[in-house]
Amino acid sequence: MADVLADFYDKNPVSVVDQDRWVHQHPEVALQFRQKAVYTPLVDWTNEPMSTGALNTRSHEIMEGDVDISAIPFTQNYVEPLAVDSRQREYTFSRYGQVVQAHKSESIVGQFLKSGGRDWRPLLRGVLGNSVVRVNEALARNAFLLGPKAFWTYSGGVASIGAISADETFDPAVINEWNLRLGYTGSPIIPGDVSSAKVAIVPPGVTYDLMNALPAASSNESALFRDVAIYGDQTPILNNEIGKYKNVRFIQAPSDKYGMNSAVLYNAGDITKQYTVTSAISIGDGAPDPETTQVDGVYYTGQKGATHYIQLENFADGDYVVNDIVSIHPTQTTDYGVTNGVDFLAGKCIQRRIVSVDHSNNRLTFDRPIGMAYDSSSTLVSHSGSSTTGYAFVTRAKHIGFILVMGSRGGVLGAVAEPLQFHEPVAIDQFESVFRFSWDSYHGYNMWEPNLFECHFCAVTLPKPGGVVSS
Amino acid sequence: MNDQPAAETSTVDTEPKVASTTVSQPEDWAKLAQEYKEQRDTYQNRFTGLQGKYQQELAKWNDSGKELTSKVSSLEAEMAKVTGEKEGSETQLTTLQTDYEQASSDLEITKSQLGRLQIITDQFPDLLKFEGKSLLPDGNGDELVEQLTSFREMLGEQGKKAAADLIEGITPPAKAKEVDKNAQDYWTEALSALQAGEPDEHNRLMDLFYEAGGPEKK
Repeated sequence: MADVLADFYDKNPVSVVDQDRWVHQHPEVALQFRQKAVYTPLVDWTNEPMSTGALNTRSHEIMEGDVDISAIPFTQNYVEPLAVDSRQREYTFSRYGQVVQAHKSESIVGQFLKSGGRDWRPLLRGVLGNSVVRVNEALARNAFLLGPKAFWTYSGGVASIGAISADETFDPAVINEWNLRLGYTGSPIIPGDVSSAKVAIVPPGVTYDLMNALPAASSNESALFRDVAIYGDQTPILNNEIGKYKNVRFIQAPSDKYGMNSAVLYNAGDITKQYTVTSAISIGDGAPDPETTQVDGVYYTGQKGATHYIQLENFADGDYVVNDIVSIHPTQTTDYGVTNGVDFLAGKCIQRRIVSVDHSNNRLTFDRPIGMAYDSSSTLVSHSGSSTTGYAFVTRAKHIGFILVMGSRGGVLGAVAEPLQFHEPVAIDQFESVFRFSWDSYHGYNMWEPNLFECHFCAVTLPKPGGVVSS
Repeated sequence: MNDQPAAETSTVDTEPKVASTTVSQPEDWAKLAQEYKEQRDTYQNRFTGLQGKYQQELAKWNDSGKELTSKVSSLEAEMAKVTGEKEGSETQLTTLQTDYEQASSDLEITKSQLGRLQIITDQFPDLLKFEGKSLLPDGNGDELVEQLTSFREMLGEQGKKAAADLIEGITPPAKAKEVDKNAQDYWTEALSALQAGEPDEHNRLMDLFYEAGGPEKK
């Protein structure tokens, strides 16, 4: 069992590189992918650009001709040969990388320095490894979302993400359609599994809605749900697998420790309110003053010297509510059927939970500091406000559940051109206390076969302190 | 039972009590007294003589009784002594019998061992060293011959296999001690463990990899 799952989770940008070229950080990163990855293992990987060095690679395949089933006359000596044709697909790669900082008082830095600067494992099990996995998880998820929208389906049969109303929660009836549309045409998703088994990555809110929907189904229908504990001793179980329904294995994407879930497109639906951020946001801004206010009555969050709010254009009382999850994003899009909508694939689109609203001064405070700067201004027109010079938008809209359903492997192709590299850290401040650790990698995610998977969208129930948020 | 107390009854003696009177003939009291006196004297004289005789006889029987009692005591002591001696003799006899049986048994064993050694010496001299280290199967006679024949055949096969292995060079090398391994060895093994889906073993080997010098020594 263990090696079957190891095979499954070894589909990642590290494990595809020949082990002869591995450096000592790579095994730990591979382990991190095994333990934490949800979307990355669903991608097939190639390391061909490592040998060719080509930025763009065209993959060529021969197409078989049609067959003529007409009878041949007894006296005929020549027949038309089967046609031979070909088709090509192109894949490429980009460069990705991040720098993470850690103070020497943190135990992982202490362990690193103590080991003479060679044992990176404590770091890779913490912030550095998380950085690699999170970047690739986001890229892998988005790679599936970058496929043609014609293949997308929506709960309730509506036409776009923007048209999803609160009633369009997950409907188990669509599972029959998945079984019809996503027939087995490639290799099994899970090695050794039943060949036609499909995998659906769902947010916790969809599990909630599915469990609510099952009792309403006829007893025979609801009896088809199999809890993972029932078949778990016969079949390799994936991380976060919750059960099986009509030959679809459900994996619940885990939420991070701040409650954010990669299978939820926060504020991607119909907009309730959207206003412009009118003052630049610096790294570390937005959390309450740790000397005066605790988050959730527990956490002294962020730095005293930071700005403890973000400044918005004028908004009314009730436009934002405590415990709302809002998106902060620099750009708008209409790609998903929402006018002025959130571009959830943008690099600087982040989410935060509101912990206080000051509508008199038009300020919002969040559960944790904002980790990147929004300091580039332009003239922005928000959905609910007016045209003004701003730095980003803060949008409160319907949250959309994203369900990735895989019929078989091969929907997205990952290509690695240069193995993941880590760079030896140095202290960067006068007191030699803050260390920066960095990594970069040349690899890419490419749409490869859109018939093998499906992106399904629905309204989703979200948890909030003391209750649930229905879309 | 009758709860009523028993009625007391009394008999009224209506007869008057009158002292009985014997009516006898008058006798010659003096004459009777004389006769009785003479009889007394006669008896006194006779008794006195018998008393002396009795005293003499009593003393004689007492002496004789003492003598007999002494003889009985002496005989009892002698009997106890003889009885003790008898029991000692019986114990000694038992011991001797046990010794005899042990000696007989030892003799049998020695004879058996001698027979076994004769068989080994005569028919299986090549296994004599095994016998010296008590590695051969137990038994004697035909049974031993059969067992030793089988043992020798198996031994021969093993020897041939070892020789064949040696000749073919497929005898596995002795497992190297972990302390003899270098960082490269640990690295290779750690990657194998990772591939096999054994993260704990992988981590252990990576610990050893770093202890052995890590990437600098790879």
